[in-house]
Amino acid sequence: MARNSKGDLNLEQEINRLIHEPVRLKVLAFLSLLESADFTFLVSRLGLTMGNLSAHISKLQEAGYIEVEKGYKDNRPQTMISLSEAGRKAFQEYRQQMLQILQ
Amino acid sequence: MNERIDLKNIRRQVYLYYSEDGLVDIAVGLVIFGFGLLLLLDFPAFVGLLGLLALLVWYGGKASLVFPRVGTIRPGREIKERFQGFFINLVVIGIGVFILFLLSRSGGGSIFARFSLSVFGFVVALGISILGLLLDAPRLYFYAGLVFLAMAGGELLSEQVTAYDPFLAAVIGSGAVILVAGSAVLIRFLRKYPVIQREE
Repeated sequence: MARNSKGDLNLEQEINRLIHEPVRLKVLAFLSLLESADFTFLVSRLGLTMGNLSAHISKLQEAGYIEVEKGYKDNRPQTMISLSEAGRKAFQEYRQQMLQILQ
Repeated sequence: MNERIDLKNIRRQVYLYYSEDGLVDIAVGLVIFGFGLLLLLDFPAFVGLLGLLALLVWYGGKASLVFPRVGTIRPGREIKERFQGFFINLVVIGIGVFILFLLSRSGGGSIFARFSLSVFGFVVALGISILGLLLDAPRLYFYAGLVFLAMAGGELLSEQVTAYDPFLAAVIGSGAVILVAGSAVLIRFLRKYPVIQREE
């Protein structure tokens, strides 16, 4: 981990701001336990509006942390979301960083 | 939204997905209630169909009531391994039941023969407890205790009561209690999660 001249952790550089945001962190935490989850599951678990969650999902997708697959199930639109390899790695790194910072 | 992020709580919420709707309770209650009722009506050959009926009720409820409200998930490796462990335990219990059945038939003096219904109740309770452990749903432990006490109590009372079959009454009663409790959990779930009308 990067440290300044005094040997302190450089938090500004180290912490992944994209993941550090609570909603996105929760989304990644849920997806880390699952192969995939649909949009409705995340809405119900996170207690967000669809628009709000959609904005966070877009940011994670742009960063390449999640993969979004749109389709239909029982004639209803369904959006399945899964963690990409990059997302899994970034989430693990974030966890390690937080553990090291707090120790 | 609660800002506190706790991985244990998130894991718990994922497991809650499988039990929060009360459909598991209803399926378990249906099997026990139906088992007692079929024996009472002297249709033991249909007992095997109860599992199929419970599965239909469970999946039908999931598809029509649960998925439109809380969506669907595909479990990750950890959850899949936990489920596999459950099915292995279920097979072991099934083999155990078969061995107990053979022991109960082998001789009149055997303790298994004397308390065969209590032993059966214990095995059923063990299966429900493992399901509770798997789904992280402590209320299933209560059901397990209820089923065991009902079957063991019914068997003990059978020696004194002759006007009716206390064992069957206890089985039907405990199944009905689980059915009612499961229905209450389902109603609470339906109130908590309204149908999400459209995606994004």
